[in-house]
Parts: sequence; structure tokens; C-alpha cells
Amino acid sequence: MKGKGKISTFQFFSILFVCRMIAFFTFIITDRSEFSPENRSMLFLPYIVLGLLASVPALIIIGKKENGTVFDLTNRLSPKVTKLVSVIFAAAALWSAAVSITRFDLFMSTVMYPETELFAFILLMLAAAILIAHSGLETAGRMSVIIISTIGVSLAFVVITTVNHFKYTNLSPPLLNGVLPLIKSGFSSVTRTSELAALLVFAPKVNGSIKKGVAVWLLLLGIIISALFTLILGVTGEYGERQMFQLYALTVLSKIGVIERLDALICAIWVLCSLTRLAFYLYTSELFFEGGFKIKSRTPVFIAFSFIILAAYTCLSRSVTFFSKVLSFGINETVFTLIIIILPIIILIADRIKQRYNKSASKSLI
Amino acid sequence: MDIYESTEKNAEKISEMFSNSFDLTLREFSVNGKKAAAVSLDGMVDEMKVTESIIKPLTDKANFNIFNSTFEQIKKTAFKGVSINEENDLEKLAQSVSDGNLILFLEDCDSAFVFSVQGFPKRGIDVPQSEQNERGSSESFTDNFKDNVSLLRRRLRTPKLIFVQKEIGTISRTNVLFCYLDDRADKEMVKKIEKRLEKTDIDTLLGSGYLAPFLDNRSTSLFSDTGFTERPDMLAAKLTEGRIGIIVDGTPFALIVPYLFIDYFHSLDDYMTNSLYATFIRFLRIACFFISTALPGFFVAICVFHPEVLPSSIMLDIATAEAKTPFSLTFEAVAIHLIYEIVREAGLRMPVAIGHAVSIVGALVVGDAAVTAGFIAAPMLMVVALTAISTAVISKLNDSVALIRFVLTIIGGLTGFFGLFVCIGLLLADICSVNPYGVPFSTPFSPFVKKSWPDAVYKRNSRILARNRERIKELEF
Repeated sequence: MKGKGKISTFQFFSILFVCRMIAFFTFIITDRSEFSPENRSMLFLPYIVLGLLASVPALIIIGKKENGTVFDLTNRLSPKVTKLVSVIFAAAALWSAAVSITRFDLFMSTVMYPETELFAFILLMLAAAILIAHSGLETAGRMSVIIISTIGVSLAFVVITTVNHFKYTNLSPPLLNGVLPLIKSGFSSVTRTSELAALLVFAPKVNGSIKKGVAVWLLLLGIIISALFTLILGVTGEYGERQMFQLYALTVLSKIGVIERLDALICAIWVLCSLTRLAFYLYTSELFFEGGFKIKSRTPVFIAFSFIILAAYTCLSRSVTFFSKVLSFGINETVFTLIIIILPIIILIADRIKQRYNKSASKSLI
Repeated sequence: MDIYESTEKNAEKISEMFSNSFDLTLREFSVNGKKAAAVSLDGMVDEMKVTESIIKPLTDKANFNIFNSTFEQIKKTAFKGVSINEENDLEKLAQSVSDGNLILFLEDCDSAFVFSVQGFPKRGIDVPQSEQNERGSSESFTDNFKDNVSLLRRRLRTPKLIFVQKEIGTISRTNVLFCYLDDRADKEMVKKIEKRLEKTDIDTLLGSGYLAPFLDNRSTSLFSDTGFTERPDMLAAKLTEGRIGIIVDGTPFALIVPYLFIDYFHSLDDYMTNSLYATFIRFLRIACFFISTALPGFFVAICVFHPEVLPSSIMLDIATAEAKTPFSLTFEAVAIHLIYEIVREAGLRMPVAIGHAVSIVGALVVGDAAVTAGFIAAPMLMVVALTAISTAVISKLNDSVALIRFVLTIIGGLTGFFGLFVCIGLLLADICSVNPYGVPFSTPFSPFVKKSWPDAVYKRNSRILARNRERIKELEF
């Protein structure tokens, strides 16, 4: 066995890619000023730069080799800190899973099965996610590679069949309102990239260079998302701007020969992404929790966490308006800024101070 | 238990052990003036050999000198084509009789002779029944494991071909051989499989299928990572890839471990036809897997939940046909598949002579009468027919495919594409989660192994493949 229990960098970032793509597919633009049309085609620039900057604290932490997780540092600080950090990160991962599943539910109940109660379906998805999480990271990694090729084919189909409707007149001049709104859009996108937090705990499970992986992943994400945003805008124009789920508006337009509506099939493929994202966040939250608390068996934790996700989903999915209102308070941005940037920086500084203190204490002893 | 000095007592004891079984044959005669008793099981020994090669020389006085030890003289006698051993444990001797040997007790001797004269009826080498091939060999494995060894040796004439014999089954004590090419197989894998075989706790092993669950790496998986083949050429090809073969006495199917998902789509004909055509056929087989598992589910999901996917003219035709039937589409799909499975099972179990009659009745009842009577719609029947034909293309996956198809049809009918894709996700997870002996079951798709693709997924020219033959140990993760 070359690396039992480990996955390759490609597989790991495939999971992250699938997670991010489904977040994009079901993304609801609540604040138009935040993602104004003129910024979308250039979004990749601030997204890549700010994304790389945001990943620096996590990369420094995992570079401090022991096990290569955030808990190496927190354990040096104090067991209590470890427990606190583990709970915060696990809670953030669960929140992200709940938001993701709610988004998917709202997407389905709004455009696919209007006015349908999807609770049973969400339960089915959660049960499936528990099974996948239970199968381990290797399973999710291998699945993601296959899912990516499926998404690739479906997106290629959408692009090929809709690109002839592309009108340059639908696009707004980039940087129409200056650079600042573009940077703001980039920052908002980065704070939504909660997957960056997973780096803090997954490094020992990945074979290969994570730094390179992060760079390529952000680059591809930035380019693909910007390209799709541009295509949506160019093809759907004002109509797309008024739609809640903009990529879906694009898929509705794709047709081939006598088959004029394949949106249901394309969106069904997104179920696979949503399932992978849910399983990955379940696994991540469990892994964060395991960092602070001793766990005998993973399965009961997965089940318990699934109930938490279900409870949060039940509260959040009351209506699109309610969900948008909750998100408009900036909870997502706050949570992810905290776990991706602030908390890792605080941990790094605290570790530095503690090390200096220990050094001076040992010197004074000599 | 040591043997007695009296031949009568020994013979009596052996008879007791076999509960005076009707087929236990006892021959009493004298050798060089000493009482002797030969015990064997009727039908398990070659009678001609017993008479001509053992009894005749033993009863021929010219072969013996009364002044020398009879026991020693027998040891030195050449028995034509028969190997001879000594044994003094009665239980082991009884076991030898069960194995088809003849044992000879001699008065006043503390050991008995065991003559290897096995000769039981066996089936000859036949044409493969379940793995038809257009251009390959017409020989299949037989029930006799020694014949199977020679079939394999004839194809791989190298001393590197290793056979290790094991005995499995506390009651059946079945001979099991595991074989591999010494320079190709991964030693660690060989050890693991040997350990698994040793740990196999089973009382009766009547076929290789009994052994497969003990070799599988995940009992809950829908797909087995132990393959079957009745073709010696197929096993030989797999051995050259570094895999391990297991031959079970009494069954014409050898096992192959590890067996990957992509192996289910391979045929030996792929290597005997044009590589472009072979590639086309391979992709067709993979497509048949999707058709046979998911087509009814998708059809039901489209008709019930997503009619917009189909062009309106087709959808209207389907709706018109379905309007005449009393059942829901999902029920119809499940019912026809159940009938198909019944007909298939009947075709398998029925005597060959009436098998055709069953097929005709099945086809007429399901295919014609049911549509005419308005119980089922013709489009649904067409879908089921296509599914059934596609299943035949990947017959090795039939068991798993049948189960998956039922689940997908029901889920598709209840929840549409979305439930269907959750199930597909689970199926994908199942395929991706198994690592038979360290090799991911989903290789070379994921993990993506570029080197494997020219042979495993598509078929490159054999001249190029011969240079870059892939080995299973290279796929370990």
C-alpha cells in the first residue's frame, strides 16, 4: 500500500471543487450591489488574489509539520483551546452544510418542484451522505473525480448549446464603477469559500503538495466562475438578472435537436454535487470535532451531526425570503472570515507568543 | 488411532467408520501366505487398475520369496502406474479411502499400504457455456481440478506458474488450488489471499461460488470483487497481469482476484479483433450497463415527473399508450421486470427440453397478449426488452444489475430524477469505496490511471499493448 487512508491532491481538490461548484450553481444573489453585473466577468482576478491571501494562515499552520493540522498548535497552547477551536470549526462546517442543503432545497422547491414539500427527499440525501461519509475520504475523493467529469460534460453541453445566443450588448463595461466594488465582490466570494478551512485539518490525509493544489484550485474556480457569470449575463441579459438562480436560467435555454428541455437532467446531476458536499462537510465537522474530543466510533457522530444539520435546515428553509434575510445579516461572511482568516491568525500569534515565552523561560532556567 | 495387527479387525474398524456403507468394498486374499485385506470405495477407484496393477502382482507367487518379509517385498514391488505410501493411523487411512485410494492391510504388520488408484467418473472438456467467444479457444474448465491445472499449464508453459494446494471444508475437504505467476503477482497480495483461504471457515465447499464471499473485501457491496471465469485462456490472461486464480475441485468456474469494476466489461475477443472495433464494443458494453440499470428508472421518472425532457410528439404517443392501461407507470415497470426475472429464472432452472417452451410462452404472454389485453403499454414493453437485451451483454453483472434496476425504477417513479441521482450517487460511492487487496475497485476511472486506459478502458493496438502490459500491482494505491 503506497498510502492507505490517504488521497491524492487531485482527489482532495476535486472534492473541494465539486463543493464550490454546487454552491455556485445554487447561489442566490441577495445583494445586487455586491455582485453587480459589470464586476462578474473580472471577478476571477480579486478572487484568485484574495483567495490566495486568505489561504496563507491555513497554509502556514499546516506547514508547521507535526501532524500538519491546526490542532498541533492548539494542543501546544492548551487542551481547553483545542476543545474550543474544535467546536467552533465543527459548528462552522455544520452551518455550511445546513446552508448548502437549504439552498438546494430552495432551488428545487422554487424552480424544479414548485410548492413541493421536500423534507423526505432531504432526509434521503442526509442518509446517503452519512453512508458516503462513513465510507471515508477515499470514497468521496474518487466519487468527486467522476462527478467532475459529469459536470464537465453537462456544462460543456450548456455552453455549446447556448453560446450562439450570446450578445455582447448584454454585458456591462468592466470596472464601470471603479476597482473598489470589484475588490468587494472578490472579498465576498472568498469569504464564501468555506472549503479553505478544511485545509486546516485535511493536510495529513492528502498525498502531495497542498500549496500547489490551492493555487490551481483557486485559479480554475476563479476562471470557471467568471466565465460562467459572463456567459449567463451575455446570454440571458436582463432576463437572467431577474432570475433567482441564474445558471438554471441558462440551462433552461440549452437544447439539442428535438430535445428542447434538458434542464431537469442537468440539475439532477447537481444532486450528486450536493450529496458530495453534504458528505464532505459531515466528514469535515466530524474530523474537527475529533481533534478536540475522543471519539470511539465515527458513525454515531455522523448521525448526531446530521440531526443538527436537519434542525438548522428546518429553520432556514421556511422560505426563500426568510433564508435571504438570514444571510443578509452577513452570518456567512462573519463565520467564514472567522474560521478562514481571524481564528487561524489568532492561533498562529498565540503559538508564536507561547514559543517565545517558553524560550525565554528555558533561557532564564539555564 | 493406530492400526491393529489383525487384518479382520482393521477391516472391521474401517467398515464401522463408514457405518457399513454399501459402497465400501472389502477384498480378502493372501499375499505370500499372509492374510491381506484391500479396502476401497466402489466407484471411486479405477477397477481395472486395482485388478491389473495391484491384486494381480500381489497374488502372483512368483513375485515373492517366502523367506523374506512380505511387507518389505511389497514396498519394492513395482505396481504399474500406481503410487504407494505407508500409513499407520486408522483415521487417516479411512480418509484415504474417502479420497479414492485403496488401502491394503497385511496380517501382523503395524502399517498399511495406500495405493493411489483414483478413478471416478468425470465430465470431459466442453465448450464454455457462459462465456461465448468468437475467435478464442473452445475449451472450458471442467469439474476436475487436475484437468484444469493441465488446461492452464498448456497455456502458460513456464515454471513461474505456481500452484498451491489447500483443503477447505471440514466435511467436504475440497481441494482448492490457488495459482499465480511468481514473477508477476504481488507477494503481499498472494500472502493475503492465502491467509484468507486458510481462515475460510466452512464445512462444505461445493463450488467456487461458496468461496467468493470469503474472498470479497466488502460483504455489503453490490458488486463482487472476485471474478469468475470458465475459460482457461481468460484465467491465463489475468494471471499474466499479476492476478491470482483460484481453482476449486468439482466446479468448472475458476475465481480471479482482485477483480475490478472495469473487468466486468472485458472479453477475450477484444484482443482478437480490430482494436478500433474492440474499443467501440467496450464502450457499448459500458453503455449497456447504464441502459440495463437505469433506463427503466429514467423512463418512469421522465414520464411521471419530467415530461418536458422528451419531444412533445414522443411524449404524446407514450401518454396515449399509457392511457389505455389500468396501472401506474411505476407499477407497470416493476411488474414487467418481475415477470422478466421469473421467465429468466424459469429458463435457467427448467430442463433444456422445455426451456424453449417457457421462453415462447413468456414472450407471447408478456410481449403480445399483455399489450393486446391492455394490461401494459407497448413503449414500456420496448424499454423492458431493451433493458433485458442490454443485461445479456454484461451477463456477469446480472445479479447486481437486476437489484439496482428495481431500486432505480421504484425511486425514479416516486421521486423523479432527483431521487434517482441520490441512488446513483450511492451506487457510485459503493463502486468507489471498495479496495480489493489494495487495488481500488474503480481504477482506472478514479483514481485516474492513465497508463491503464489503453488496455482497460479502450483497446489500443496489440503491438503497442504487448510492450506496455499493465500489472495489477502497479494499480495499488
